[in-house]
Amino acid sequence: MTPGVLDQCLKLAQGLADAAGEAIRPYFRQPLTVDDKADLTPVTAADRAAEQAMRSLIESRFPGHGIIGEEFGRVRENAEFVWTLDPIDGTKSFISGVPLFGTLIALTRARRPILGIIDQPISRERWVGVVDRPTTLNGAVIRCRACPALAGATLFATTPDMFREGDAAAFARVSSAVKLTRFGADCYAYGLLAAGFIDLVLEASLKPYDS
Amino acid sequence: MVPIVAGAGGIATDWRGADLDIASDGRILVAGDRRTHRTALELIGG
Repeated sequence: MTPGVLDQCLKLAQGLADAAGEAIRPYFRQPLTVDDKADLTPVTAADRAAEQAMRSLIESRFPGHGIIGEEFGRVRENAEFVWTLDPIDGTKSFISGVPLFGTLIALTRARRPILGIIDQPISRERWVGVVDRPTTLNGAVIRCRACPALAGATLFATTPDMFREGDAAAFARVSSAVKLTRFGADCYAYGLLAAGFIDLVLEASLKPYDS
Repeated sequence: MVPIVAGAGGIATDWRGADLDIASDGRILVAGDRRTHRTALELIGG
């Protein structure tokens, strides 16, 4: 892919993250109506407002691109370029007033991930990953840290409840081998791993828009 | 998330060590160091 196309997509992705943050911030730590979706995960007006803002920007800039959104479904999902949007990954953190949720924006080309953003709109931290380029946090290049052995590793998972039956046993084997296990950071854990503060993330029910 | 991890030198796969894509089953293992990724995969596999 030519750098021009990728850079145009990156510029849009940055605009999507800006728009989502603008939509989300007014709702944080305010009284909210929380609906339970069919899968019993909570959704708020903030999720819907952020996804609508992002979808309308994609539709106006790249009307041929596909969109898969957590709240409003799929359009053109077989297009060459498909955006996957999770306006608030970590809605349970969000509704609890915990600023460890994030807006996830990903772009796939021919089903392979080529661009990803994790944006934390309260702390105003933005991780940007582009295929074959170094990852940045608020513009500064970051690296994972070395961790030669599990005995020295810090492990994160969203919640122990996600590991069922055989998955729970597998998680327990890893958790018992590491130095420290922590729960609850959702997508923020990937940012911490990319910035060199933690070593492993194990999840059992990640959805396509989270990858 | 995959480009963010890969661009920082880390690795993100499913629980069998395969690359993630839109059809992955939701079980994922992300590591900052390939050595811990390999050891964790072995433990996951039992």
